[in-house]
Amino acid sequence: MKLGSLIDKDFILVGKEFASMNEAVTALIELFAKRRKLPVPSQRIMEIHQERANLGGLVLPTGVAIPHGRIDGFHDLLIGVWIPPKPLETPDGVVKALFFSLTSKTGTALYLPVLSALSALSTNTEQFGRLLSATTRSEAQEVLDRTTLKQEVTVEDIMNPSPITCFKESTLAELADTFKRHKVSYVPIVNEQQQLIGEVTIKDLISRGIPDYVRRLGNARFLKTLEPFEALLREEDRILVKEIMRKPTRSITRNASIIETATIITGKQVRHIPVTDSGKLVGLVSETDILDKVIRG
Amino acid sequence: MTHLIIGSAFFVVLFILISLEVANKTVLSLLGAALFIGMGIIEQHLAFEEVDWNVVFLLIGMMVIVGVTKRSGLYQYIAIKSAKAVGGDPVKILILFSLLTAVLSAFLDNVTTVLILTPVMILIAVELGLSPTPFVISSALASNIGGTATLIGDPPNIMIGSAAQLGFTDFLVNLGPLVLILLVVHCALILLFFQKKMKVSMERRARVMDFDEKAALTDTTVLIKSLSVLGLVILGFLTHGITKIEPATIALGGAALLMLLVGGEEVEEFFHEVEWGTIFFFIGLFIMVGGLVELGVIEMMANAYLGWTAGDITLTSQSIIWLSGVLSSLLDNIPYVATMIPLVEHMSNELGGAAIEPVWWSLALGSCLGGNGTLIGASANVVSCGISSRSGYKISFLEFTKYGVIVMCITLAIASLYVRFRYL
Repeated sequence: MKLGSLIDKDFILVGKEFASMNEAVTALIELFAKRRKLPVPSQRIMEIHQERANLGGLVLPTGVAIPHGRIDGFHDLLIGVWIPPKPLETPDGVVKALFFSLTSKTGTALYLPVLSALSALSTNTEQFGRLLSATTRSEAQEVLDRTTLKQEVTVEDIMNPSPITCFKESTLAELADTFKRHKVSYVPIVNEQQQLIGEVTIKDLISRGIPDYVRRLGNARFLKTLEPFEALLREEDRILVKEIMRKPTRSITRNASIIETATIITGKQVRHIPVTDSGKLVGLVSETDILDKVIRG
Repeated sequence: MTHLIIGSAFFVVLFILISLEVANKTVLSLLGAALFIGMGIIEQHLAFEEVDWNVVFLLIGMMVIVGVTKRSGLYQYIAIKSAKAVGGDPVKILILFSLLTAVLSAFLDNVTTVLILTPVMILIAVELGLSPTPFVISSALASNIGGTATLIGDPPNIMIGSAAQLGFTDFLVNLGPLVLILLVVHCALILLFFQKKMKVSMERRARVMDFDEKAALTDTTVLIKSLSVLGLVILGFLTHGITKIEPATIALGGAALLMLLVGGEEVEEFFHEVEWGTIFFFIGLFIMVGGLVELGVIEMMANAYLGWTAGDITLTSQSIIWLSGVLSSLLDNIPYVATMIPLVEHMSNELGGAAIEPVWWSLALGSCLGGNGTLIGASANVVSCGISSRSGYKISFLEFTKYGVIVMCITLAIASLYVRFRYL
């Protein structure tokens, strides 16, 4: 499906100047209202949009703004486009192109694919450049027609394509620094060929100091100190990651569905899944990715 | 005749597969039971009658009661308290822990006991800067000795008690004194094995003295209720002679009472304390052995045995102690005892009920004490060494066995003397 087919030519604004994203959105809502009977007044749509906008995160690093409003009893997907003559500075980032979507509260099946197509478009330098330099609606429409929509969002669309990794010969001290410096709680372990050979979490690091027998005690309230835990602190420069890493218990391919990902995350009580392509680590997908890019996409 | 050969061959193969743990033993025993019924060796209604429900319900009841009791943290409390009471002296701790394991094994059951106590022992050994191995091995061996003393201490005793109509007091009176002697010998042996490895610094001792054992008691309400019920249940076992209430009924009643007192939302959780795998293992075994009885295999074996001993009760019981000891150390002692019970019952038909009692004690002693012979000889050994290995202190088959086989031989020798002079 073409992105262009979903966007009415009349809802594209080219060359107009607005002082803020809100002004542009207001203008687009008026365009919608002129052509379509909307179930709620424009003012209400603006409020709904504003509530979402207050949460932030509507401007992608590539310069695409994706404000949206979800309203009750509206079973369609309207998308309005604004290409500012020059990039607009906003508190959320620089806006080079704005796509405002109006959809039902439950969202339509196409909404997520549209977001992912927009994100893909904004990283395609050539096409995105052509869109930004469009001077007429038709020119913009042409670019959108060339952008195809993947019907299904896959892991590849939401994963982190360059996760922080570690080697099995690293020491626990280095591992602890990695966790702290990059603010991550999970690190895939790879070999020189970037093949996934293990995984380790902050919890695994701590577990090294709390052996199995301590966990079997029932409770540890009577312990204020514990020799294995002190040994961990003492010997973090000598213990290697391979001693605490686990075999990769799960992995997923990049064209796996979001549902499969979410099922593994909830069913196995894990927070991260490494993404592999014939054994090689190509990304990492986490519960936060599902929240940020799907539930609050 | 074909049935007889095929049935016996099946049984032997399954017995070996179970002992080698080629596949899950519960699954194997149920599969065997289904085959026996399916092949028409034993009819279904007869097969179900072969299941000794007294054993099954006694096990279920005790598993629930002990499962609830262990939530109170009492056993950790006792272990830490005793380590502190001897000032963190490792030799005394080693002895105390063995005795504690033996006593608890007699009144709970030995697998649960080592499940609860092994982690505390490893903890204390590691804090003292010692290898946990001597502690784990000594107490696993002690649990099998202690479990021998009572009806509920070790699964073979539960089965024998039920089949031979021997009660809790019968076991305590007949085997208790011997077990006390064996424990003293066991302590002397472990001192001989491990004493020179027990050297610790004052600094390490101070760490153990710093444990706050009172904090281990998580829930005093559960503690009081579960101890009261456990006390009532043991009282029930002891007064069986007067009340005539069977152990299974006492244990199930106690479990129900305890769940009523402690439960609420958690009642479902208490049932998770029951090791259903073990329960169904027993059920499958009873059916298979029932099939062997139907086939007449057991009768033939019993007659052959009596033919060999010429009906001499001394030779019969003495040989059963050693045969059971050696076989139980190499094979799983539960299917072994399940097979031996109908065999001894046949002998009692020949020799007379009263005369056979020493043979029952010999079977109990041989199969319980034989469990010490190797690492795989008893579930308690497997469980405690498993915990140790998972904590990073691996105990190999040979390491365990080199101590276990000595303890087994000496305790079996004392046991056969005891039986010889007390009963024959």
